[in-house]
Amino acid sequence: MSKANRDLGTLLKAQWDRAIAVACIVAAVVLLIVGYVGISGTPYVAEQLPYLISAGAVAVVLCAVAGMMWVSADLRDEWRELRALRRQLAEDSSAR
Amino acid sequence: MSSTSLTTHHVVRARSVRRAVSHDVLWAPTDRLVAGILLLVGSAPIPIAWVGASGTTQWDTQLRWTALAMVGVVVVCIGVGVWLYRGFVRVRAEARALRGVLRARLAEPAVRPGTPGGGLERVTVTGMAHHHRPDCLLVVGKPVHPATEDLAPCGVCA
Repeated sequence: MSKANRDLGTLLKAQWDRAIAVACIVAAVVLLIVGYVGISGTPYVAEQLPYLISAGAVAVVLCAVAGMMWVSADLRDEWRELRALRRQLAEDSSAR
Repeated sequence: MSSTSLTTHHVVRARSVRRAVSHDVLWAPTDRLVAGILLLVGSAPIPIAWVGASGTTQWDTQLRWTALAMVGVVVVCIGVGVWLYRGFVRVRAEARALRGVLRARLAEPAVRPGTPGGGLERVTVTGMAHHHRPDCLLVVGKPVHPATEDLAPCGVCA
Protein backbone atom coordinates (compact mmCIF):
# COMPACT_ATOMS: atom_id res chain seq x y z
CA MET A 1 0.00 0.00 0.00
CA SER A 2 1.49 3.37 -0.97
CA LYS A 3 2.31 6.02 1.60
CA ALA A 4 -0.43 8.31 0.27
CA ASN A 5 -3.04 5.57 0.71
CA ARG A 6 -1.82 4.83 4.22
CA ASP A 7 -1.92 8.54 5.12
CA LEU A 8 -5.44 8.81 3.73
CA GLY A 9 -6.53 5.76 5.71
CA THR A 10 -5.05 7.21 8.91
CA LEU A 11 -6.71 10.57 8.24
CA LEU A 12 -10.09 8.92 7.63
CA LYS A 13 -9.78 6.89 10.84
CA ALA A 14 -8.84 9.94 12.87
CA GLN A 15 -11.48 12.19 11.29
CA TRP A 16 -14.18 9.59 10.71
CA ASP A 17 -16.96 11.94 11.77
CA ARG A 18 -15.89 14.68 9.37
CA ALA A 19 -15.48 12.06 6.64
CA ILE A 20 -19.07 10.91 7.22
CA ALA A 21 -20.23 14.54 7.07
CA VAL A 22 -18.50 15.08 3.72
CA ALA A 23 -19.89 11.79 2.39
CA CYS A 24 -23.41 12.81 3.44
CA ILE A 25 -23.07 16.19 1.74
CA VAL A 26 -21.83 14.58 -1.48
CA ALA A 27 -24.70 12.07 -1.37
CA ALA A 28 -27.18 14.89 -0.78
CA VAL A 29 -25.86 16.81 -3.79
CA VAL A 30 -26.06 13.70 -5.97
CA LEU A 31 -29.62 13.04 -4.79
CA LEU A 32 -30.65 16.62 -5.48
CA ILE A 33 -29.27 16.39 -9.01
CA VAL A 34 -31.02 13.07 -9.58
CA GLY A 35 -34.25 14.51 -8.18
CA TYR A 36 -33.96 17.60 -10.36
CA VAL A 37 -33.42 15.52 -13.48
CA GLY A 38 -36.36 13.28 -12.55
CA ILE A 39 -38.75 16.12 -11.77
CA SER A 40 -37.84 18.10 -14.86
CA GLY A 41 -38.31 14.99 -16.98
CA THR A 42 -42.06 14.77 -16.44
CA PRO A 43 -44.88 17.31 -16.63
CA TYR A 44 -47.16 15.30 -14.31
CA VAL A 45 -47.31 16.31 -10.66
CA ALA A 46 -48.23 12.76 -9.69
CA GLU A 47 -44.88 11.60 -11.04
CA GLN A 48 -42.96 14.54 -9.62
CA LEU A 49 -44.07 14.17 -5.99
CA PRO A 50 -42.32 10.83 -5.41
CA TYR A 51 -39.09 12.49 -6.60
CA LEU A 52 -39.69 15.29 -4.12
CA ILE A 53 -39.97 12.76 -1.34
CA SER A 54 -37.19 10.39 -2.30
CA ALA A 55 -34.66 12.99 -3.42
CA GLY A 56 -35.73 16.17 -1.64
CA ALA A 57 -36.62 14.84 1.79
CA VAL A 58 -33.71 12.40 1.89
CA ALA A 59 -31.30 15.16 0.80
CA VAL A 60 -32.54 17.36 3.65
CA VAL A 61 -32.02 14.50 6.10
CA LEU A 62 -28.52 13.87 4.75
CA CYS A 63 -27.64 17.57 5.07
CA ALA A 64 -28.92 17.56 8.67
CA VAL A 65 -26.85 14.49 9.48
CA ALA A 66 -23.79 16.04 7.79
CA GLY A 67 -24.15 19.18 9.91
CA MET A 68 -24.60 17.07 13.01
CA MET A 69 -21.44 15.04 12.32
CA TRP A 70 -19.29 18.08 11.53
CA VAL A 71 -20.38 20.09 14.58
CA SER A 72 -20.03 16.94 16.72
CA ALA A 73 -16.43 16.64 15.56
CA ASP A 74 -15.72 20.24 16.54
CA LEU A 75 -17.44 19.79 19.91
CA ARG A 76 -15.48 16.63 20.60
CA ASP A 77 -12.16 18.34 19.82
CA GLU A 78 -13.02 21.27 22.06
CA TRP A 79 -14.20 19.02 24.88
CA ARG A 80 -11.02 16.92 24.75
CA GLU A 81 -8.85 20.04 24.87
CA LEU A 82 -10.74 21.50 27.83
CA ARG A 83 -10.63 18.19 29.67
CA ALA A 84 -6.90 17.78 29.08
CA LEU A 85 -6.26 21.31 30.35
CA ARG A 86 -8.37 20.74 33.45
CA ARG A 87 -6.60 17.48 34.25
CA GLN A 88 -3.19 19.03 33.69
CA LEU A 89 -4.02 21.92 36.03
CA ALA A 90 -5.44 19.59 38.66
CA GLU A 91 -2.34 17.36 38.51
CA ASP A 92 -0.09 20.41 38.69
CA SER A 93 -1.98 21.69 41.74
CA SER A 94 -1.72 18.37 43.56
CA ALA A 95 2.02 18.15 42.77
CA ARG A 96 2.72 21.55 44.38
CA MET B 1 -33.82 35.47 44.79
CA SER B 2 -33.42 34.69 48.49
CA SER B 3 -30.11 33.48 49.89
CA THR B 4 -31.57 29.97 50.48
CA SER B 5 -32.76 29.63 46.90
CA LEU B 6 -29.43 31.00 45.69
CA THR B 7 -27.61 28.30 47.68
CA THR B 8 -29.97 25.61 46.37
CA HIS B 9 -29.49 26.92 42.85
CA HIS B 10 -25.71 26.71 43.21
CA VAL B 11 -25.87 23.22 44.73
CA VAL B 12 -28.10 21.96 41.93
CA ARG B 13 -25.88 23.60 39.34
CA ALA B 14 -22.71 22.19 40.93
CA ARG B 15 -24.25 18.70 40.95
CA SER B 16 -25.23 18.92 37.31
CA VAL B 17 -21.72 20.19 36.44
CA ARG B 18 -20.16 17.29 38.34
CA ARG B 19 -22.46 14.82 36.59
CA ALA B 20 -21.75 16.41 33.24
CA VAL B 21 -17.95 16.42 33.62
CA SER B 22 -17.76 12.95 35.19
CA HIS B 23 -18.31 11.19 31.86
CA ASP B 24 -15.23 10.08 30.00
CA VAL B 25 -17.01 10.56 26.69
CA LEU B 26 -18.75 13.62 25.45
CA TRP B 27 -22.11 11.98 24.83
CA ALA B 28 -23.54 9.63 27.45
CA PRO B 29 -25.17 6.36 26.36
CA THR B 30 -28.62 7.83 27.02
CA ASP B 31 -27.86 10.75 24.68
CA ARG B 32 -26.83 8.33 21.95
CA LEU B 33 -29.95 6.24 22.56
CA VAL B 34 -32.35 9.19 22.42
CA ALA B 35 -30.71 10.70 19.33
CA GLY B 36 -30.52 7.30 17.63
CA ILE B 37 -34.18 6.58 18.28
CA LEU B 38 -35.23 9.98 16.98
CA LEU B 39 -33.11 9.59 13.85
CA LEU B 40 -34.48 6.11 13.17
CA VAL B 41 -38.08 7.06 13.89
CA GLY B 42 -37.70 10.11 11.65
CA SER B 43 -36.02 8.25 8.81
CA ALA B 44 -38.51 5.36 8.74
CA PRO B 45 -41.54 7.24 7.34
CA ILE B 46 -39.61 8.62 4.37
CA PRO B 47 -39.27 5.40 2.32
CA ILE B 48 -42.79 4.43 3.40
CA ALA B 49 -44.09 7.79 2.15
CA TRP B 50 -42.15 7.39 -1.09
CA VAL B 51 -43.67 3.97 -1.74
CA GLY B 52 -47.12 5.27 -0.83
CA ALA B 53 -46.88 8.41 -2.99
CA SER B 54 -45.50 6.57 -6.00
CA GLY B 55 -48.31 3.99 -5.76
CA THR B 56 -51.10 6.43 -6.46
CA THR B 57 -51.96 9.27 -8.83
CA GLN B 58 -54.51 10.89 -6.53
CA TRP B 59 -53.28 14.35 -5.61
CA ASP B 60 -54.75 14.45 -2.08
CA THR B 61 -53.41 10.97 -1.25
CA GLN B 62 -49.96 11.91 -2.48
CA LEU B 63 -50.08 15.08 -0.40
CA ARG B 64 -50.77 13.03 2.70
CA TRP B 65 -47.78 10.83 1.98
CA THR B 66 -45.67 13.93 1.37
CA ALA B 67 -46.81 15.33 4.71
CA LEU B 68 -45.76 12.06 6.37
CA ALA B 69 -42.31 12.41 4.81
CA MET B 70 -42.07 15.98 6.09
CA VAL B 71 -42.98 14.81 9.59
CA GLY B 72 -40.13 12.33 9.34
CA VAL B 73 -37.74 15.10 8.29
CA VAL B 74 -38.84 17.23 11.26
CA VAL B 75 -38.29 14.34 13.69
CA VAL B 76 -34.79 13.79 12.25
CA CYS B 77 -34.03 17.49 12.72
CA ILE B 78 -35.26 17.26 16.33
CA GLY B 79 -32.92 14.31 16.87
CA VAL B 80 -30.01 16.30 15.41
CA GLY B 81 -30.94 19.25 17.65
CA VAL B 82 -31.09 17.08 20.78
CA TRP B 83 -27.71 15.52 19.96
CA LEU B 84 -26.01 18.88 19.41
CA TYR B 85 -27.72 20.44 22.46
CA ARG B 86 -26.38 17.70 24.74
CA GLY B 87 -22.93 18.16 23.23
CA PHE B 88 -22.97 21.90 23.84
CA VAL B 89 -24.20 21.36 27.43
CA ARG B 90 -21.26 19.02 28.14
CA VAL B 91 -18.69 21.33 26.56
CA ARG B 92 -20.04 24.28 28.58
CA ALA B 93 -19.92 22.17 31.76
CA GLU B 94 -16.31 21.24 31.05
CA ALA B 95 -15.45 24.91 30.42
CA ARG B 96 -17.14 25.83 33.74
CA ALA B 97 -15.17 23.16 35.57
CA LEU B 98 -11.94 24.43 33.99
CA ARG B 99 -12.77 28.00 35.05
CA GLY B 100 -13.32 26.72 38.60
CA VAL B 101 -9.89 25.09 38.64
CA LEU B 102 -8.29 28.25 37.22
CA ARG B 103 -10.05 30.42 39.80
CA ALA B 104 -8.79 28.18 42.58
CA ARG B 105 -5.24 28.39 41.20
CA LEU B 106 -5.40 32.17 40.92
CA ALA B 107 -6.76 32.44 44.46
CA GLU B 108 -3.68 30.67 45.82
CA PRO B 109 -1.38 33.13 47.58
CA ALA B 110 1.50 34.19 45.33
CA VAL B 111 3.82 34.65 48.29
CA ARG B 112 4.02 31.89 50.83
CA PRO B 113 4.11 33.33 54.37
CA GLY B 114 7.55 33.07 55.94
CA THR B 115 9.34 32.76 52.62
CA PRO B 116 12.25 35.21 52.53
CA GLY B 117 12.46 35.52 48.77
CA GLY B 118 8.70 35.69 48.16
CA GLY B 119 7.02 33.35 45.65
CA LEU B 120 9.38 30.40 45.20
CA GLU B 121 10.47 28.47 48.27
CA ARG B 122 13.97 29.49 49.30
CA VAL B 123 16.38 26.96 50.76
CA THR B 124 19.74 26.99 52.43
CA VAL B 125 22.39 24.62 53.63
CA THR B 126 23.50 24.51 57.23
CA GLY B 127 26.37 26.94 57.66
CA MET B 128 25.44 29.16 54.67
CA ALA B 129 24.66 32.83 55.17
CA HIS B 130 22.38 33.15 52.14
CA HIS B 131 19.10 31.69 50.95
CA HIS B 132 18.89 30.18 47.46
CA ARG B 133 16.42 28.88 44.91
CA PRO B 134 16.16 25.07 45.12
CA ASP B 135 17.75 24.78 41.66
CA CYS B 136 20.64 27.17 42.42
CA LEU B 137 23.98 25.63 41.50
CA LEU B 138 25.39 26.51 44.89
CA VAL B 139 22.96 24.16 46.69
CA VAL B 140 22.28 21.47 44.10
CA GLY B 141 23.21 18.08 45.48
CA LYS B 142 23.53 19.37 49.03
CA PRO B 143 21.24 18.64 52.01
CA VAL B 144 18.96 21.69 51.91
CA HIS B 145 16.28 22.86 54.30
CA PRO B 146 13.83 25.80 54.15
CA ALA B 147 15.53 29.12 54.68
CA THR B 148 14.71 31.50 57.50
CA GLU B 149 14.11 35.22 57.13
CA ASP B 150 17.39 36.30 58.74
CA LEU B 151 19.46 35.07 55.77
CA ALA B 152 20.52 37.30 52.92
CA PRO B 153 19.53 36.51 49.33
CA CYS B 154 21.99 34.67 47.15
CA GLY B 155 23.79 36.90 44.70
CA VAL B 156 23.60 34.24 41.97
CA CYS B 157 20.00 33.10 41.97
CA ALA B 158 18.09 35.92 43.72
